[in-house]
Amino acid sequence: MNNIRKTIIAVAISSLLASPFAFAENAARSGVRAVNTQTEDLKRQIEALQQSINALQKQVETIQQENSDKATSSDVEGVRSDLENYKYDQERQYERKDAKSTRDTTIYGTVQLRYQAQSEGTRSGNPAPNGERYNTFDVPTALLGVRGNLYKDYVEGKNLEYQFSLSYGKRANGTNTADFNLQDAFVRYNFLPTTDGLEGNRLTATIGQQLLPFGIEAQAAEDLRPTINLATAPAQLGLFNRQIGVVFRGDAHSFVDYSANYRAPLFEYALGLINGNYSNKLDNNNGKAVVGRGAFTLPVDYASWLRELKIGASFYKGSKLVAGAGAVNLDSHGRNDIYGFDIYYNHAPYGATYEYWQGRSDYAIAANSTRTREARSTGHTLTLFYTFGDQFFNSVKTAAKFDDSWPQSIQSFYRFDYFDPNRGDEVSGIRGHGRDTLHVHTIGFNWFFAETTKLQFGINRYRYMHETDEQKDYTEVQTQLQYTF
Amino acid sequence: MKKFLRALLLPLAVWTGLSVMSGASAAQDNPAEIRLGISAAGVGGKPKIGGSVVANVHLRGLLENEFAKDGIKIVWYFFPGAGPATNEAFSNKKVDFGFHGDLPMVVGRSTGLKHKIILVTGRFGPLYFVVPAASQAKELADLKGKTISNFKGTNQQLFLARLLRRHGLTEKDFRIISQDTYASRTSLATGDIDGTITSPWALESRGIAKRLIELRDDKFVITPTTLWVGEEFEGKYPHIVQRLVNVFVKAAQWSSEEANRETQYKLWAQSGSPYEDYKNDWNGYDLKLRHSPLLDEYYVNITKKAVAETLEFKLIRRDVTVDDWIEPKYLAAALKELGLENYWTPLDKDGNPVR
Repeated sequence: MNNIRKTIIAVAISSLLASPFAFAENAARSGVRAVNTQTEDLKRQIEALQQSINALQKQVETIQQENSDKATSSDVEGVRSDLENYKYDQERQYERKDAKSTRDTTIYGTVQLRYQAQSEGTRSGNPAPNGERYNTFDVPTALLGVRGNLYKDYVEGKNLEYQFSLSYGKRANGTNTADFNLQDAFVRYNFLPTTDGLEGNRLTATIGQQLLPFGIEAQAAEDLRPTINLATAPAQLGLFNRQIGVVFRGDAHSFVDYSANYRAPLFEYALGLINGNYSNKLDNNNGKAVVGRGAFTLPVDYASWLRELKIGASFYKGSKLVAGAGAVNLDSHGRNDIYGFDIYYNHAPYGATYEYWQGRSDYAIAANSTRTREARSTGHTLTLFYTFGDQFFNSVKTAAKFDDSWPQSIQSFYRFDYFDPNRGDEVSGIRGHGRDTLHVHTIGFNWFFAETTKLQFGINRYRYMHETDEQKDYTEVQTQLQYTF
Repeated sequence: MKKFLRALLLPLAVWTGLSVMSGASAAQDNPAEIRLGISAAGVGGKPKIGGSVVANVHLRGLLENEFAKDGIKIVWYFFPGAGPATNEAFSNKKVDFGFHGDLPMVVGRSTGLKHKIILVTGRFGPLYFVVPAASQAKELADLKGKTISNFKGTNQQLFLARLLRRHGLTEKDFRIISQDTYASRTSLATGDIDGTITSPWALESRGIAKRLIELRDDKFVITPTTLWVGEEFEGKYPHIVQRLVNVFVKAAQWSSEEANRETQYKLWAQSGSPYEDYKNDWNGYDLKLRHSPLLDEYYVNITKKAVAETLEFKLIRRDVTVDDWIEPKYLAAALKELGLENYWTPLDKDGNPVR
């Protein structure tokens, strides 16, 4: 019993002693929990804040990155300063260094540098005394010109244009000096609108000294002639000489193929009134010459094998002063007419041209005669082309490029040229340079190796109807470098 | 006479012989080169363009990479003379593939050019009708009787005709003159024309002109651009055509990815047109929609419409059939090979998605 009491008392005492400690422990435990909770909350808050800071940091970085691509006011000031410097420099250069003109002007020119050799000796081109030569270097053409517009009509394109050119000419007196002769000197007005597309008709008037609208080759400017030597008939008949007057040129009823912007005027025409006394001279009689041409182009699509097939006819009706012995005027209104017919076909790489001329011209029968007679001259020229390369394709030629590349091309050709200066008299009564009936065969090529430069080569075989000591058949080799700018 | 004939014929025979000999060439499994005629050029005649899958193929050198191993040279012709120049080059056998807008392609086909449509290289996009800055016009009808510039013979001619029709007008209500792009922009500045279709951004920034009309979601004024192959080339080298189409389809997929939008704008800026212009013209458009190469019902329908309009405007004299002009097999094979059969959504004839 005592033991039980002792045990109870011991338990009671120990309980009394342990209670405050247990309470304290419990209190401590709950305090720790609270602290832990607060700590967790704080941690979460810190993490959330950290995330916000990170997001803000990211935003700042993004904005900084975006702003790094944008110009600051200093950048803008820098560009402005550079621009002002550039403008100042341009103005200064323009004032001191740039060539100026009152109107839109293009300077252009053509130069030909030639070497030729022939099987028969010649003395032509130099006054006596001279020695016979078999070959020579030469500068046959050096032409310088300007062209542009005097009035530009932006709405209708009824522009007023001009052209002026000078060409050097050798003196036949054996001196080393040369002349600069006036070549083109004209203004041209477009009567009809030129901004109405390809279908519209065209009509221009050209007033002044100009090439004649006769045939094909005579109308081509110096840089566009296909062979080194000119066709004999138009050269002998004076058709390459520029003349002074007024010429109307136009076309009507154009066939247009929009697939390649190909325009084929059904009818082309030209009609002119000129002095008839060639270039750089006043008229020498009271009769004016009338020159005219009509041509018909086949109305077919660009893709057709018949494209650029043109048939034309031309006439020149003039009166000439026929001089007799002692510069006596035998006839102020002697006949001086030329008729022509031509076919042009250009379907690159193939091409062909054919021209026929007939001249009727009065001349003094002999140096001491007072009588005149009519000479009937005839000429034909057939030229066949085949081109290796892209020189004649506008698309390829004008394709965009960074460098100065150009489609290199070789245009091979064969030409048959014939001229009979007087069908009524095989040897005498010869018009022009006193040549006999002449056949010329030419085989050669034009090598286009830069945008405006070509090397031409030709072998010509000259055959006369009547060979004499002064007039022998011969073979000629020519090479010519032609550049335009 | 005999002597004369011999003299005439001998040199002629020599010349003919030389000419014919040079034209002879042996057939090969692969072409020495692939020539592409592109109906556009960069600003100031740069041989680089922007704004299409074609530009991306060129600027990223993809064809060059594809065919380098075979030693096949890639020749790109960029024609400032636009569609007609491509037709001229193809007529003369100077290009094997062409990139065209609808009008020059239709006109070329009508005149007998033999090619096959193999791929669409782009569709839709904005169209701006621009007037001088001082213009008082509020709508197209206000310009009645005035001068509008248009580059005749290019697909711009059809764009204008369609735009006028949309506003109940015809070309007869205006004085239409023909100018190329640069001349028309100059004429806007001088006030010599009263309006034209052109890109407005550079003009507006210089205070020269302003937009009178801006179409951004019209499916029948601006029409798709096309890649075709010449029948002769296709007949000789179908395997090369397939590889080329594969390259274009892969490029169309790259171009359609949103991730490559900015990269494309930057590439295209090499053409000379500013990056900002491309951004203005292309932002807001779904790249997949604009770069889709599919020869779908919409393409067939709109090409047929273009033929009908070209006939109506008397720009062609002979009709063109479209169904036998399209050769879809190369595109179908490319889509299959590249696993892109479902990548682009085909459009129905009215331009609505089919699925």
